Amino acid sequence: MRKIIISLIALTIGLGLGVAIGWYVWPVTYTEAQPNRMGASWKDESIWMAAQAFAYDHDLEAAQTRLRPLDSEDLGALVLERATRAIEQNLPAIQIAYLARLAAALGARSPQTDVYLTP
Amino acid sequence: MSTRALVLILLVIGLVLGLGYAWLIDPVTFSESSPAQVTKAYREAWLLMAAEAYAQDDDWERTQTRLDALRDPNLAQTLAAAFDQYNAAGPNAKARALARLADRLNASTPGMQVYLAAIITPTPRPSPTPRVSATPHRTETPRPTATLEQPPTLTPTVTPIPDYQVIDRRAECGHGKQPPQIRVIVLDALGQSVPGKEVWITWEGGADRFVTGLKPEIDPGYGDFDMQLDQTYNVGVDKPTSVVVRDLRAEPCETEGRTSWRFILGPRTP
Repeated sequence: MRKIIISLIALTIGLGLGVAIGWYVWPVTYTEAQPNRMGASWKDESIWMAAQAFAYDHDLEAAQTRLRPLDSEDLGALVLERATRAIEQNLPAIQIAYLARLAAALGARSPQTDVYLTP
Repeated sequence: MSTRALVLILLVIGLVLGLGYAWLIDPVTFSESSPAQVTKAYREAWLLMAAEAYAQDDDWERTQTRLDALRDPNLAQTLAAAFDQYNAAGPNAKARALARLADRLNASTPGMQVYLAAIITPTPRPSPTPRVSATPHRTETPRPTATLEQPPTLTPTVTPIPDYQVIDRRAECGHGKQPPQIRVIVLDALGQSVPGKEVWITWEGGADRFVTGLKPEIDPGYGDFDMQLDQTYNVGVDKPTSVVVRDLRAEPCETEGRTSWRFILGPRTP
């Protein structure tokens, strides 16, 4: 009887260790994830970079290609929302301007962001 | 079987089962990936966006954060590959941005030099004597009564004597929609056309180059460059500083169109 109890305890400890190692020490790492799985802060950074890059190369098609994987049906609304949030966060005017201009190029404008359209 | 051996075996079996459960049956799922974990295509897009953003705003600190997010141990190679891919389509802004970023990372390749050479900052003109202002300017903050504004430290340079000279120079009026051009034929000492010669076109804040011989139907030593209407150009051979012709503009013709310039350049005779 004692032997069975010790065996069960050993098995349970082994199981617990295995699960702990598999979840916390060496968890499964994923690669080749879709960009829409990126964290919100990375998505924001991506939109911001797309806007900066658009200010540099004026390539709207490239900007759309870069934003589309973020999984938004309305790219203009996606960038406009980011621009609006940038205004609320008091981010630098140039940052808001880049976002507002890309949003406008994608057909999304608002009175709040329109003031940033002109240099 | 001893109890100790049994415990050990069951511990290992438990460990294996636990790992199998944690890795295969119910693995940890992260709801948020980082740029390092996304598809290769998007990682490439991320890199290009970071390069273009750096070219636009010159914000190196932010660029470094963006590059670090990729966790790419071979970033220099990745950059070079991306540059080659974009540069294959001919000179363009994206390749220029990648070249600039690679240069900042000390990872530029020979192919990038044409873009990096084009980033020319105008040489400051030295003022002969330091400017001394005897009276203070009216500003909110008081200034010393005499300020000595040192001119930038300049290494005296001697304008290099180009190895080439103009043998013939002609203004040609263009017709139709063809843009005005700088057309150059480079000859050798024997008067033979020289293909493969690098001709540099420089202007304030920029530079470009072409290689002779790409239009052998015109002349084996011929090459040309489309001029912008509002720009003043210099022409050099082999290197941008070796200027043979200065201050070329696409002036309006008397009839119609703009002036193109045709030069025959040959080695300077002693």
